Amino acid sequence: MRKPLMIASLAALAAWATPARSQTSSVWDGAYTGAQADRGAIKYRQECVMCHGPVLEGNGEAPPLVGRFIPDWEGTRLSELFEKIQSTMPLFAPGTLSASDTADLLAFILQANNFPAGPKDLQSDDSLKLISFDAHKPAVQEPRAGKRH
Amino acid sequence: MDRRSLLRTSLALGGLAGLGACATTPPPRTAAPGTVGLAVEDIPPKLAPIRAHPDRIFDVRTCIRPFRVKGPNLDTEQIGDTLVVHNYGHGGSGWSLSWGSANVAVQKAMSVAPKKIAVIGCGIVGLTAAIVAQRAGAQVTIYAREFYNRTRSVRANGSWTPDSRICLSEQAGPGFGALWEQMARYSYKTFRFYMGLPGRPIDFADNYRLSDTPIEREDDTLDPAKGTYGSTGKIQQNGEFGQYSDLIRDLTPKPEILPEGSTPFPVKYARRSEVMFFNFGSYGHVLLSEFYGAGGKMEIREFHHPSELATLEEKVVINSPGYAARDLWKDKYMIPVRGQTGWLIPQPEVKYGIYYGGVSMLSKSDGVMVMSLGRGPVKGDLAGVGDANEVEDRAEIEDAVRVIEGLYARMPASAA
Repeated sequence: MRKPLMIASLAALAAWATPARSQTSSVWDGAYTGAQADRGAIKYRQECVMCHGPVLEGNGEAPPLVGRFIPDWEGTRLSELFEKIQSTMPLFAPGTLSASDTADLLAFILQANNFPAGPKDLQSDDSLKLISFDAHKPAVQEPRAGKRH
Repeated sequence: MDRRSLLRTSLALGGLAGLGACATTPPPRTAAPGTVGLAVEDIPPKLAPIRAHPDRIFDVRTCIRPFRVKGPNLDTEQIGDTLVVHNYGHGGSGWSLSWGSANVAVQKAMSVAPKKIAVIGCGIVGLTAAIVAQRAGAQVTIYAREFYNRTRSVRANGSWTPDSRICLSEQAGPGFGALWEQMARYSYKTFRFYMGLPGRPIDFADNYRLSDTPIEREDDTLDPAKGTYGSTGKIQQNGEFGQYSDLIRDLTPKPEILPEGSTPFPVKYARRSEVMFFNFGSYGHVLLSEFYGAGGKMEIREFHHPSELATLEEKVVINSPGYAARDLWKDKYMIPVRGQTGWLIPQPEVKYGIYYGGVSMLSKSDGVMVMSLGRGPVKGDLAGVGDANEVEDRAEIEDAVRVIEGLYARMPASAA
């Protein structure tokens, strides 16, 4: 009996040591690249700035895309925000943004809200369904003393 | 101009108005030759005189503008586990910029998705921040030393003056203009929603600038020889104050030069502009009703040290204490700028404002407001700088009222 138990323990240790490759990730995990956000910024100035404002502050009718934007979208997946943008924006021509432009805009908005950039562009596919929009940065899991044995 | 020629003009205007009312064909677009040369719709109407007499003064209020040389503080800082978003130091522009500044502060506050927000201060800047935070979905408690109607805000002028002593341009830096424009435009847009309500919380009026000598623009160019705040540690000249109104020139009508004789006033030179202003009583009532109606709470409390903010239940605080920030936060950039208003008994039939001889008067719903702006030894924005004396000076207001009393005394009865 000792051997299987030891294997199980090792497996548990391995699972603890390397973060579980879970199905989902968060906007805090670097969901876009800086270059993509730069492309999004250009698109933003062309399509969005006239209503949402130069610093995404909103204008009283068009909502801000910073600040209260975070609690407004908290708990959703990025796919929902992507669909909202692509299907309803810009207000004067909804549905005219290409998928890649929409992803770039989303990257720009994430950057404006201080979510970190990462090594890979945000894609405009089903992978968005796996990225959660969390208001708060998850606490880093510190090894806890007394749990190793 | 002599009384006779004014009388002639008045009669001519009266005749024209009568023609407009009776004619079956549209009235001519311009006044008849020999009158004034203004488009019909721009000819000043008959104006009820202001009963400017010192014994009609029923209130004198003095305040300190929360002037901050770097412009309003909208930074954030962490006090223990509490996020503090500053929102103070709006100088003579608090009423005007309140909504735009609130929007900036609230978006910073909401970035950490709080359920509850505390607002420190219940002047116009705190109260509007509280309402904007409610609109963003937060439960809000205002902690303040005084209720709204005892704050310095209601001892101010309360007109649309969005760049009145808002900063020193050098200290605020070149980026401030864009932020200022954002706040000014957002505010202006928001005021729209408070028009047309009972008590006219926000109103517009014609303002006549009157003079016996040609009206000249004050010279506010910076003179390097005089020194500046940057070089001496003290504000030295009017040219140091930030002027940004050109950025929003499109929002308001252009001032008009009115030809001599076109107004009922006994002066040679007149210029008319449109002024938007805030009626403190009704506007405050509407805002407080909105705040309480959305579940807001108010607690009278005075803070003595920033660390006390961390003891609040709310972990996100919007800090709008106005001039009190100078002591509470030891903000060395805050400089007091004294201001005073006098109030004559309300005259609802008067629907305009005037500026003459260094005195301004504006008829508001809660009284005819009097300010002595150009009669002291120090002119322009420098007047009152460094003066934290909040004791009323009734003599100054009486002197101002007499100036206007003298103006109306010269006005022929037929002109009113």
